[in-house]
Amino acid sequence: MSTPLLSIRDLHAKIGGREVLDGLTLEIGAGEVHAIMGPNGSGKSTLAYVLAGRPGYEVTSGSVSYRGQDLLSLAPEERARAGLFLGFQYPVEIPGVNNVYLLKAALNAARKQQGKPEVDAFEFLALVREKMKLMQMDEAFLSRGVNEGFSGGEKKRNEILQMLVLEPTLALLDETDSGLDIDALKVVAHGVNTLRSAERAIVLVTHYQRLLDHIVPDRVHVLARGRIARSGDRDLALELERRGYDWITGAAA
Amino acid sequence: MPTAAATSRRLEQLATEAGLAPRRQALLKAALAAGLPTGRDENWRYANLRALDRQVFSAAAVPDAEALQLAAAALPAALEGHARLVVVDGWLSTELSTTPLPAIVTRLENEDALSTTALDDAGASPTTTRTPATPLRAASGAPTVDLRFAQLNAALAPQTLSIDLPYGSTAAVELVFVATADASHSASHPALQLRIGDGARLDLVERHLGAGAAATFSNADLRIEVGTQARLRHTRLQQLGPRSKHFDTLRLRAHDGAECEYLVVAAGAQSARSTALLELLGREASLRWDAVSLGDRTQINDAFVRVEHIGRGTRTRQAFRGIAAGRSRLAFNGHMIVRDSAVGAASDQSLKALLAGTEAEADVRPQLEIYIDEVRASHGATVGKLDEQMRFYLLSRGLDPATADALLKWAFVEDMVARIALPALRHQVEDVMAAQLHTVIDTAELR
Ligand SMILES: Nc1ncnc2c1ncn2[C@@H]1O[C@H](COP(=O)(O)OP(=O)(O)OP(=O)(O)O)[C@@H](O)[C@H]1O
Ligand SMILES: [Mg+2]
Repeated sequence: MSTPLLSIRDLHAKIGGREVLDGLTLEIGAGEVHAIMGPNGSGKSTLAYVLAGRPGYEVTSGSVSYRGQDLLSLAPEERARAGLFLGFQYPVEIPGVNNVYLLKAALNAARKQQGKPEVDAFEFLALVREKMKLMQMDEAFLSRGVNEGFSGGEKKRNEILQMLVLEPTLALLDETDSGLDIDALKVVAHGVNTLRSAERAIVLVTHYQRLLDHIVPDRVHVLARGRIARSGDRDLALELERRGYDWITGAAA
Repeated sequence: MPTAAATSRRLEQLATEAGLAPRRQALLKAALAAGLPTGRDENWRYANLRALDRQVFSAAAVPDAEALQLAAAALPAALEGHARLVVVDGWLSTELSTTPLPAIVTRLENEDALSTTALDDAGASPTTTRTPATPLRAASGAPTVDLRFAQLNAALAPQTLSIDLPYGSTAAVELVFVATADASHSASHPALQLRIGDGARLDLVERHLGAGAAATFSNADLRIEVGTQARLRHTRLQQLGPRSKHFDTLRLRAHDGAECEYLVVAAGAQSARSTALLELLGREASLRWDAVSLGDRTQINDAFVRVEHIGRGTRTRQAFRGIAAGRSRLAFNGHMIVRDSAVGAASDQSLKALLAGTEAEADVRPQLEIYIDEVRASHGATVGKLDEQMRFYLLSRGLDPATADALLKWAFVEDMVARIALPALRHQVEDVMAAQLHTVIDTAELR
């Protein structure tokens, strides 16, 4: 068996003095799509933030290896440049920094890491236009402040747009489907699916089985009280839809 | 603190020196008798009054060829459509100004004027008979100590530049005050009086520049009257050199329906204190006051803005954005007064400062003094660090911390200048800000 793309072992993490991740173990192989479900407050976003390196989250024990590298020793921007992408549950508004500037700066940061020159202005625009078309986003969004005044659904599309431009190796999408209307869900799912490839992995944090009709996962996990309480294939999601979480969280207690 | 006493002694000496006209001597003495501001005065707590230590106050002589050359080199590219008036060390330079001078501009030689005009007891500068000086007194009830620097200017300014826009006319003027004289032997005391006739419109750009790396001292005085239904768009840029010390006083009175839009950017000087005393006298007179203050190293920048709503339905929107880096100290004190006559007045204040240096300080103070019930007044004031969520969002996209910080700082102030209608001016202002912030980003790409 080849080494997994991401390997999380017995991870414990605290936020605000509270232990939120309590011995989480998870492996994700290249080419795979995993879904993480679980009750509110169980630690899904915390896991995503810990992986992305958000300040304030303290890892007390355990390890995370990403492409054979100690992920936790890297600064957030180094993780991003190494191909990790976090799609935020609540994308941040940054008035005064326009979208296109951020896209370009992010792309160039990744290219620099790979020893490539800065992206050519025309190539960049062509690339962004193509991806925007895919996300059915109006080009007017480019000149607006990052997420500034975007509707909930527009923010989520914008996250996926960034992902498509950056082509990450590991994408963590935290509830990217929440707040999307039915058509937007399809658009976003299509965007995510175009990224699927043998060398990439995608982790979808979601509350809804509906998303998994469009992006079919290889594995489904239930996160409860800071650890993986159950794992299965896509049928697990269907079962959760029918039965809720009690039968699992009860068992995990 | 020996500061005030020592400064007073030096000024007294100056007052008794031969060569200073008796009228000026009297003005100086009156100012001294009333007392210079100290850190104990309510509106002067954050001002750097130490800037007055060892300061020589005598007005600089008429600039010589060398001074003019230095001044010429310091001038930025001319702004399209604007008449340029260059005042060097308090003296209007016809060489460096638009020729011929626009008809709306008059130079008043204060020396002549001194003997012929009566002086207001609050200490306005002397005037000729041609244009009665605009707000001569302190706005009603303002502590007269807030006018002390205006009084010093009145006593020492070599000339007063007068701009008088007739009824219904339109003009665009760029006023450049250059300080070249070294503070160790003289000071720059520029003075302006401006009257915007009823229904007239003026775009005014006011710059304060230092020539070369000179340690200059300037004390400017501006008095502005905005007529009925007149409009003033006034951009004030303090981009003096890193060794300069600066004081200025602006008095403005707005009549019925007058619209006054301000953008004030304070950047360069080692130490600056700006006093603005603004009266919204007429019905529905409105004021927008946007101010940006950027501090670095050990710079001290203090602004006091007093707005008095007198007319019915007068409105003010005030925003302040300050970034204190290094060991700099920034202060903004926005004092809003609503008199009982100002039925239906509205005032909105948003004052924010960002601490970008571990030893930097910032103080923002909204003050409301309301004498009537029928008012809409809101205010917010915050001093904080860069937003951690925004910062992490940028880092999570691979931007390095220096770039992320630079972007967030830029975003913090940029919307204040985004409204400048003239692209060339906007770019100049952005360049001043970018240089002051030592930004690592290409701000042109953010336009
Ligand atoms: N800064 C903080 N201080 C204290 N507790 C926190 C902090 N941030 C998160 N928590 C707590 O950690 C727990 C896990 O939160 P997290 O956001 O990871 O949940 P989640 O599984 O993503 O929930 P949801 O499905 O609602 O998004 C919650 O109980 C939350 O209140
Ligand atoms: Mg969450």
